[in-house]
Amino acid sequence: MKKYECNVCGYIYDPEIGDPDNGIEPGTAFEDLPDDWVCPECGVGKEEFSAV
Amino acid sequence: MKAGIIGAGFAGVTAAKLIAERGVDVTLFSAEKVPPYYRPRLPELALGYDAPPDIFMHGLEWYADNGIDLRLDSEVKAFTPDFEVTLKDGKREKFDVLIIAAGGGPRVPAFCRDCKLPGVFQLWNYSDAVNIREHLGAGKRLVIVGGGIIGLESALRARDGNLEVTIIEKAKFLMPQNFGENASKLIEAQLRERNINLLLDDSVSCFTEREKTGIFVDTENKNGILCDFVIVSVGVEFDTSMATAAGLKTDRRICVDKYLRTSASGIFAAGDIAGLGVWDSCSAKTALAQGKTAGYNALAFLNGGKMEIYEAEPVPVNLKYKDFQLYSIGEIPGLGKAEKILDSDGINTYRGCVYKDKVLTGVEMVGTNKDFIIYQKELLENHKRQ
Repeated sequence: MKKYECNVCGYIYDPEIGDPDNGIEPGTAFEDLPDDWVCPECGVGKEEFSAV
Repeated sequence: MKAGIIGAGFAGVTAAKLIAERGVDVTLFSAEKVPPYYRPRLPELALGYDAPPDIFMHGLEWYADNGIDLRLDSEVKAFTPDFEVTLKDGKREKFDVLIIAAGGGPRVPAFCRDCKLPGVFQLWNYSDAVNIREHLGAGKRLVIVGGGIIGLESALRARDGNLEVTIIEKAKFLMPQNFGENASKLIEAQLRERNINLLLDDSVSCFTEREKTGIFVDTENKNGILCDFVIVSVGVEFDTSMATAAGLKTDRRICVDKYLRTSASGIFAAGDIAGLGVWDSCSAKTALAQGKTAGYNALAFLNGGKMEIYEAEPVPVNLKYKDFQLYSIGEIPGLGKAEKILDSDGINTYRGCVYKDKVLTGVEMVGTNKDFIIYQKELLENHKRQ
């Protein structure tokens, strides 16, 4: 599963880690994140992320 | 019908995209020579020891491909209430609606104003970051003036690059607008733990060049630091002279209502330069949201449709760099605002909330972001209910 980087602030979403503080379990692929999931650092939406 | 957008930061580009998607011609003026980029990435570009990141929002061809007439190196010098824009080369262009998204600029304190020393930098725009990066070989001693979010991130990155770093901060404790003293003390300790020198309650009086040995930084408290380069990051200021000249109502920023309308009909403002008068800040999150609303409302102005309201709300301030993190939103502890410490180990992590009349109005965290989003959500809901 690919990691994704927030274009705005550089935060890396790592699917192996997930985003547990925001209810996203480890092992969740970026594509499977809910549509309203936002970057935990700067708040922008999924559309501002690029695969790295 | 043509829309003109002054300023190609995140708000301007977002508004341009929305307008172009509806098939309306849009021209996006940028004073920069480089394509639009994400400003929050600049400290990484300036000081990151990895390969420089690509921080551009889109490739150049994206703009034309998406119906946006992007004009680089096209600083706008004036605009009129009837939508005529004058560029720095004297050329004029007429539009049917305008969005001002020109952002702010770095505050230039007195000790910088006449300073021509090479090696003293602002960190506001792309060329600043590139200049800093190119200058990094000059030496290992860096002084950062201003212990705000930019100063702190720059210090952390510089330490990873093995520079000797000193931060000079005017306030008695760090980030007093965003953290109470308890949280701030932890931030301070964690910076010192990373061998970042901190001079609090002090400010620069002047810079002097010491031939062959560097730059001498003199402070009000008679501290003197010899260094190789300086980054000045002491906040933002807004040049509203163009807006004032056009007759728009301005305060510190350009005054806008909840539809992001300025006092001139058909002229909107979005992003850092837009002043709603409540929760104004400098934030990518706000730029994105306001860019969308301004774009939408500019279209509504053109076709007589219904405008949408932009809801101002508290904006989080955060910084995460490796294992250093801080998060804050809303009010800080103070008079009439009770602080409730959720947990703190006094060294690594701190989580606190602020309550006013038993309602959550502020959250601060250092060293962790556990449940920050949940508290933030509650705070924003409380805010809406008021």
